[in-house]
Formats: sequence, C-alpha cells, structure tokens
Amino acid sequence: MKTKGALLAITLLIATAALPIGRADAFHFGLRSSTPAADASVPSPEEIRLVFTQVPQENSVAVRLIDPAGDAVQTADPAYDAEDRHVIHVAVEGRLPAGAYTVAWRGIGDDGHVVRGDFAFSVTAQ
Amino acid sequence: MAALFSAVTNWLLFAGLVAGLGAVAAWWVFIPRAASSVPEAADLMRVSAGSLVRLAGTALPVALVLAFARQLREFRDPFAPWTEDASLLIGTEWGRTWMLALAISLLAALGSAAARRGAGAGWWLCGLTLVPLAAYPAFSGHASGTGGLAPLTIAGDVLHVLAAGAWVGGLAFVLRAERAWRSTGAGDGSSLLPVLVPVFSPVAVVSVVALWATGLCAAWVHLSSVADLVATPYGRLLALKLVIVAVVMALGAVNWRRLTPRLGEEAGRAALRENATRELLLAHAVLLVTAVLVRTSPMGP
Repeated sequence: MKTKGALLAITLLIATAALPIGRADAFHFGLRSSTPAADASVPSPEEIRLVFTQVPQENSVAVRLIDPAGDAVQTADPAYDAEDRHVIHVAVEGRLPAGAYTVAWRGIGDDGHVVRGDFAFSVTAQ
Repeated sequence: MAALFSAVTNWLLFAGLVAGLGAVAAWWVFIPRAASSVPEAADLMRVSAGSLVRLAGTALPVALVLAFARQLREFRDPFAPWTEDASLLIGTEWGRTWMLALAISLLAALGSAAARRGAGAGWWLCGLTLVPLAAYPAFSGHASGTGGLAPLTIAGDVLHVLAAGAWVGGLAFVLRAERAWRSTGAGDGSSLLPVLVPVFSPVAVVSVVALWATGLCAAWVHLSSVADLVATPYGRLLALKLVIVAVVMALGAVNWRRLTPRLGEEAGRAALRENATRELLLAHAVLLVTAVLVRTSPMGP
C-alpha cells in the first residue's frame, strides 16, 4: 500500500514537472515599446507613446519627460489611447530644444505591483 | 531596508490571517467537538481562541496600513507632491481593493474585541470578515495578473490561504490551549492534546492536500519552466519555500503517525508539544518566505 502511494506520488511529481509550463512571461506588466523608441534620435516629438504588455490600472501611470538639465518638461496628463488601452500617450507642450532626454514612467499592472522604468532619446537640431 | 519592511509587512498580514482563520476554525470546529469530551476545559479553550483572534484583529489593520505605506513609497513620483500620489493610488484598482480590505479588517478588529470577551456575535463578525479577507492577497497579487486564468488562480490562492489558516492557525490554537490548560494546573498534570489532536488532525490533513494542490497550480502558472526553480529569484524563493514546507510536513507527519498514538503517556505528549512547536515556528518561516515571494516578479528583475 505504501509502495503504491509512493509510486503515485512520484508519478504525479514527474507528470507535474513535465507539464508544458511557460506562461509567466505573458503575465508580466512592463513596457513593450515606445515612441520615440529608446536611444532613438528624433525631431522634437509632439507626444510620447508608451505601449504596455498589459492594460495599466487606471490612475496608475505617470510619465515624466526629463530634460538634459534634469528638470521635468511640461506635458499633458497621461491618457489611454482611444483604440487600445495598452497604449498611454502624453502630449508634449511646445517644441523641445535639441539634447538628450529621459522618459521616466511608472504604472501598476493586473497583479498590483508598481513597475517603473526609464529610457533615453535624443532630440535633433532642426 | 525597504525589502525588510516589505517582508515584515506581508508576514504580519499572513500571520494575522492564519491566526484569525485558525481561531475561527477552533471556535466552530475544534472546540465544540473537544468540549464534549472535556466540558470543564470549554471556557479555557474559548479564551485561547479569543486571544488568538484578538492578535489577528490587531495585526491585520496594522499590516494593511503598512502595505499602503509600502505601495505609496514605490508609487512615488519625485516631481509630484505625495498627497497627489496618495490620492491617485487610492483611485487605482489596487487602492480600491486595499480600502475595502482595510474596512473589512477594521470590522474584524471590532469583532475580535467582542469575541475576546466571549460574545457570540463577535465570533460571527470575525467569521464573516476574516474569510473574505483571505481573498485579499489573491486580489492584490500575482493571482490577479494571470489574464484569462485569473478566476482559476484567484480561487486557488483563496483556498491556499484558507487551508494555511486552518492548518497553521489551528495548530497555534492547539498549542495555546494546551499551554493555558497546563498553566492553570486544573488538569493536574493532564493534557488537552488527547482530545484536541484527534479533532485537529483530519482538518490539518485536508488542509495540507489543498495547500499542495493549489500551490502546484500556482507554480505551474507562474513558472516559465522547471529550470526557473534555480534560474530566477522567484523560482529560487519558491524552491526554498518547498524545502521548508517539506520539513514542516515531515514534522506534521511524525506528530500524526508516530506521536498521536502515544498521547496516552506523558513522554508522548511532551514530544508532541515540542515537535508541534517546531512545526509552528517553521510554518511561520514559510510565511516569511511567502511574504518575499509574493512581492517578487516571476519574470525576474
């Protein structure tokens, strides 16, 4: 009886280990892509668009555009894209002088965890 | 420092939940059955359950306030005033879930204060608040972030917490009641273990099965491959949890299969008390590892 139980337990363990797991990456909240793209050199953008892997929780997204001096550039509040709520856009007010800029973002995914990140891009002289 | 604060916050939340759920299980399941054998110990067992649920009633609101402080710290936008961030955070789905949990935990605190004084209504309030609170970790954690699998993972997580409460909290009650009985001297060297262990053991066995089933389910969803158990911080923490759980289960098995049949002799009772105390301490180590695990991304840094 004990041997049968042990065999059953081992079989279950092996069967569990052999299951085709591989979903974790699908459940991670993060930045999929952006416009401007990270490390891109572009003319002054009219807006920053961030594409997330999940729909961010409402009110959770902050996007800061930081100029070469380390100060926050005036932008509109982040808003969901009307067609795809994975996309958040922020309108840039005015034309940006040439230089290196950083976009710092923060958001909360389905699992309630705060995720933040940043990337840089350059504005070219026009 | 932030990681330690986060771990302690979650441990307090889990410890409060299991203590409260264990006390509720004691009130409705263990005490009525045990009291039929030793009616003279009924009041003492009720007091033990009451003190356990009072601990939970105190720990849970504190843990939730700390959880908000942690979330706000992580949520901070250095270019915005913290009051604005706090207001935004409360407006998120996480914030609404948190507010609901805080309100329920305050009701649980009220209920636990009444239950501590022996009021039956207090126990009803504890039951009606602590069981829904067992869903809070699921609705504010990894289980909610699984897309179409969320109903399954949330249900599994809730069951996981309830089972942990029945097992670990139930064990805490058994040891607490036993210690109280022995300290009064009312039993003249006797023990409550011969009546409490037989009513607790079946619940513990069912809970362990539920914990394994729901734990395996969660691992299947959150791991990309079995190799994650050594390759990612989440996987390594899960492996550590599994190792400690295996030791806890081994101690529980010794209590159940070897020491329970020896409860008629004092040496057997002493050995079970000692072993069960180890089991409880290690179970709290599992809660501590889980406290870190639930804040670790399954995807790694």
